[in-house]
Amino acid sequence: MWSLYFLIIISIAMGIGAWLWFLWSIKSGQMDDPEGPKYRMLEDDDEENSS
Amino acid sequence: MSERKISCVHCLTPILEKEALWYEINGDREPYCCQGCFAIRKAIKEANLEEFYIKRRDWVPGQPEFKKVEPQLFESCIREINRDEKELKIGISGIRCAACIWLLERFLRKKRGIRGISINFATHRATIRYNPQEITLEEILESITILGYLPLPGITSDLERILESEAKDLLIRFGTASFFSMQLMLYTVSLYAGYFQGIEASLRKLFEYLAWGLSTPVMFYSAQPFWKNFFKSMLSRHLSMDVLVIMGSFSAYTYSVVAIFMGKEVYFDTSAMIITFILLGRYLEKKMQLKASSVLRILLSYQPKYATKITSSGEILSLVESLKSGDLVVIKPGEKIPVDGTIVEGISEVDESLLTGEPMPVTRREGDKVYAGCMNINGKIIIKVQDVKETLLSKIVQTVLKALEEKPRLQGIADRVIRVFVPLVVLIACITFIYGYIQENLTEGLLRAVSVLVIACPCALGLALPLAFLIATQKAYQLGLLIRDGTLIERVNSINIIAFDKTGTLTKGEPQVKEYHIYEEPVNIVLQIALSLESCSTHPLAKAFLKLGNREEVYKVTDFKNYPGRGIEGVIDGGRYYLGNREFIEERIGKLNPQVKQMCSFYVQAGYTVVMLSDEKRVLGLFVLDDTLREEAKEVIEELKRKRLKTWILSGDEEEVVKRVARELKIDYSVSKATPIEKAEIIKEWQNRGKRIMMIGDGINDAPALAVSTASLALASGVELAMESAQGVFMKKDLRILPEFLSLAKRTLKIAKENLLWAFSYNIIAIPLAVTGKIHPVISALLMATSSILVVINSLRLAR
Repeated sequence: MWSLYFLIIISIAMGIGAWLWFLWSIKSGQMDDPEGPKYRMLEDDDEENSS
Repeated sequence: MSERKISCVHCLTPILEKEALWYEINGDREPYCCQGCFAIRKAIKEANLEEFYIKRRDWVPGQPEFKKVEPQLFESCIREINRDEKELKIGISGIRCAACIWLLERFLRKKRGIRGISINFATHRATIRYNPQEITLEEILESITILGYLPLPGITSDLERILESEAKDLLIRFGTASFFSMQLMLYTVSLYAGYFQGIEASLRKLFEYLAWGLSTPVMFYSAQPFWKNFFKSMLSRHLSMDVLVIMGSFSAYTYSVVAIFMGKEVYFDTSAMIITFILLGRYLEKKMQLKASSVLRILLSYQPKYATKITSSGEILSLVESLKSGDLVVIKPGEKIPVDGTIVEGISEVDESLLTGEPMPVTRREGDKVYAGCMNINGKIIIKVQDVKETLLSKIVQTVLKALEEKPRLQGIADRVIRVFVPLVVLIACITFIYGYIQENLTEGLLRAVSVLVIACPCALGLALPLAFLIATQKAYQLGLLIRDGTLIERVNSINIIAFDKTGTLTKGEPQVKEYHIYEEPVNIVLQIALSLESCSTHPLAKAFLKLGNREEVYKVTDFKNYPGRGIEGVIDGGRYYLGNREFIEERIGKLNPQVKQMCSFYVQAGYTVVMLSDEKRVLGLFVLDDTLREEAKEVIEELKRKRLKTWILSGDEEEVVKRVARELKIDYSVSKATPIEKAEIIKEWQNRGKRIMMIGDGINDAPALAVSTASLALASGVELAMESAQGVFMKKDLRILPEFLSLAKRTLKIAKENLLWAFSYNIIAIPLAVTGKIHPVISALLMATSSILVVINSLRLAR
């Protein structure tokens, strides 16, 4: 029985963790530009990143 | 001599080979349309970013912006992060493709002191972080303008900012609701399984408590917008969708809380699911509105918001809003007039068609008034700004705002359904209570009555309309129509009259040669002389002549002179020729012969514009100009007739012209010489008599009419006011979109009605079960899921 309680607590913790991560991603503006990534992923010459 | 067309290597604008400027970069001689494009290409080359030219595939040919901007205008866009880092948020105009963003980002990143830059692909807004000790604001703005883009301060409209924050808020609420609903499902499914297989009582209690805990934030946090509207509706005694949502979800929630203690089945999942689904629908709706408003802003930001002001220290570019009365503003040929004023210097022809509906340009000289929004064609003029508040435009704006405010809210199908359905449900609940009370006891009666309310609100209701409208909006967007107002689809289904503006809507708004009479042989030589003279002019009428002869072989014109509002002259092969209106020709050659004179008066009376060509003695030819109809106009009007719609013209132009167009297109009714306000009044009057009118127009003069009519569409003419008064905007100047859109709207409404039927089919089965007390959470969940899936599948049919 204890294992069940344990699993419930883990699942709720994981759910709330994912929810907080979602809130953070909205607050930090990651959902602001849904158009951009599809173009940016094709850019392979990021010298700023390599240098 | 050859007149081969080539295009500028930078901006791809077609140019005549002889006019091209040739410059050398890394060994190759390349053609440019202007100095500016060469400077851009050089800057790109120096920054080692020539890959831009390979990357740009969807670049629309056209000249870049070559304006300098005042850094003071951007001071309000800066936010200080810390001592050596500042953030600049601006809009950028002139972005045509994904490669533009690539270029701007790379170019700026290479500058010293730029910490980071990102440009939003959808909204064309840039966020630049920089170190003020290493780079100044001026330098940043300069590196944007050097590439041919125009930085704009304060680009977001208030409406857009509100929509953006509302959409974000809805996304958070929806996200929260779905995370908790998913967790909730774990326990709900266990409880369902327990119902079939048996479950330990203590475990069942535990799961029920967990479900209670998980659905509480959904009920009281995520559903907050519904609660707000619920109380508002209750106070104003007006039933809305939100009343049904709260009624359904909250009764499910309270019922379940009571049920835990009474050992009955719980409905927490129903409560959470309704809220989650309906939030999703609301979020999709908000996103649609947001997309429409940012597309519109990008369409509009190509328009100048700047005016060139004359100050003691020379000419500077300043914001139109910052102008004061008495300021002097210079307007060069080809520029839009930014503000109302009186000409103090210069003479020019002004295209006022957007304001008056008159397609031919009018001559304005010193002392004449010119109005904001009109196009200055061929002379440099200096105007004195008049009272900035009481302009002609501002009067029209006020009428529009008033009309938009008074526009009756659409009683959509959702509203009509709710108004019947909610009282019905309450009635059934009451009857159930009495029936249960008589048959069993008080508690049983109460429980059954509440269970009717619990299952009254179908999840699928939240998706039934938004999903169908979302898909239709995207479809319309592909057709070339931007829907600004979600109710447009429902509105167009009710209209019975379509009223068109004439100039620019049914006609092209650019004059063409309709007929010509040549008095000298050989005819083709005379035509070629006219064409050669006009090819030196930038006047809109000049374009009309270019089709008359062979553009590849124009004669060489020397000593070319332009007399704004009158005509042009030039020397071809030793002979001097004049081309212009009657007064201009009479001034040069004296009296006209009676035949020409008669011909001229005849056409002028019929509403045409007449231009004559003469040498130094005689008139050689007479050209009749007319604003031609769009090629597709006739076919579109016929198609509308087949759809049993009446067609009207509401125009500000002369009666003869309007009547002629109406006859040619077989239009049912026409009004001419109507002022902007009169147009709106005619529509209002007929609407009061029970007609439903859709207005289609493109100018400032149509704006009040667009605002008052039941449904309205504007052509993308660059006129901000027209586009903002209308509920939809044609992004292509093609009327054929209209009948296609009407069919799409019809199909959408049909699907939306079917969706409602599928959504409520759940009630048709579930309510009788609840009345008899036979309903169980498993059945209700199963029915809810089925009706939601049906709604989604049915809506997807629209996408085909």
